Amino acid sequence: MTINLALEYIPRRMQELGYRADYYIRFRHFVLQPSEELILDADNQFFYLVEEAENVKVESETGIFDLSDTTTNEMQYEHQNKIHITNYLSGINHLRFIQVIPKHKIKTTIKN
Amino acid sequence: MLKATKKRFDIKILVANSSVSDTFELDKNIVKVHGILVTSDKDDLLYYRGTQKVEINKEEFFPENYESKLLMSGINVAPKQRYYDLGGVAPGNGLVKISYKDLDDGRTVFAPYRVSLYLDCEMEDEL
Amino acid sequence: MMKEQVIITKISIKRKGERKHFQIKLPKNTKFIVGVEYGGRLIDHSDAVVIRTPLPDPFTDPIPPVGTGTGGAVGTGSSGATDTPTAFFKRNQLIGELKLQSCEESNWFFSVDVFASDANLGLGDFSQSGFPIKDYTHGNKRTEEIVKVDAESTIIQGWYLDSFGKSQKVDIKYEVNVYVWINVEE
Repeated sequence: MTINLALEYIPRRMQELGYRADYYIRFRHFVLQPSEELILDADNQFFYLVEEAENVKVESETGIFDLSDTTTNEMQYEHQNKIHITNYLSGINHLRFIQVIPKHKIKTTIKN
Repeated sequence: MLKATKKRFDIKILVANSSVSDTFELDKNIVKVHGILVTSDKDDLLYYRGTQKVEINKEEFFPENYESKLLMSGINVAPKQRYYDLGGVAPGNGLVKISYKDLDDGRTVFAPYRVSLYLDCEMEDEL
Repeated sequence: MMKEQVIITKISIKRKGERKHFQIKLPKNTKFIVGVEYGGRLIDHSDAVVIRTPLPDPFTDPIPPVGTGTGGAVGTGSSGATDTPTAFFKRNQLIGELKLQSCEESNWFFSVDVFASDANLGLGDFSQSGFPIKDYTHGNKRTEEIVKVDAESTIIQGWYLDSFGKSQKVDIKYEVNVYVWINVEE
């Protein structure tokens, strides 16, 4: 998914889910060490895979993104809950996401 | 408006006699947890080998060494009655922690298996 | 009813000069963040055997002052007395830098230099009593640094930058624990 597509897609998706504008977004660029396996805790969050993602597997409850996987009929760019990332390369690899963090509902009055 | 929903959390047991812990977060709009159930893709292993501690919002509901067989329901149980009734627990911080232990039992041969924790919840329909 | 709880985040450092970014999730029922403190643990510095002098354990031993002439990774300088007069202020070993930011405000709400121990606990002690001064015998009470951050932030972003491994020019494995104190509504 390109970044432009993601930035158009995300607000509409958040509206669909009822979050309106009550969320933060962050751009995350992970640097994966050789053969590194990483688990992201994305409960109550969304991670959108953007830009190139080769020689890497991104798997979560919502689906899998792995260009070398021949057993799936569709690749998933939107990931939630526990996300397992595997770097297939024996060298450094890069992976980019847009992270969407729906806000907690509790509002406080403490502000300096 | 409130509606009923079921949540499932999986953990994988890859090594015999190991302990696996994981913490999961309930959706923000869940207001009550009514029941709990455990299942597996290898029921016999879960039944004979498994024990778990379950905490919701840092409150312990099942202590360590609580046998998994006590939270399993067979096909003879009507679907609506399969969940262990917790009495309507407030989710608090929404964090559910399961600490599962696998122990050898002479009646089974270990193979990697999945343990699923199901929660019967109530949620607000709109965020 | 309000209650105080702590969230512990472990930052694992393995390489010299490593910079680790992390996020701390705030529980749903958090009202605000009230304090932050840190701790640490040295795991392994076995790679350092190639260095002529053994590495001091930063979490227990005060670093010898610059100029002791050991020729190793710590200081180079000319030879000097190995006993430092107690009136001299010793430099504390910097382990790294830690910064935390909330999603609601720009800039950092917490920024600190992480030191392993206080090398100057014995400053001015002329008693020569033979009772060696260590953090665990003479250390001050540690309390969290008070902050006030709205928990609507939902997550806290942070990064940690290693200085210890970088200054010793060797990969050192250690952990830094970040303790975030929160007020929660029961």
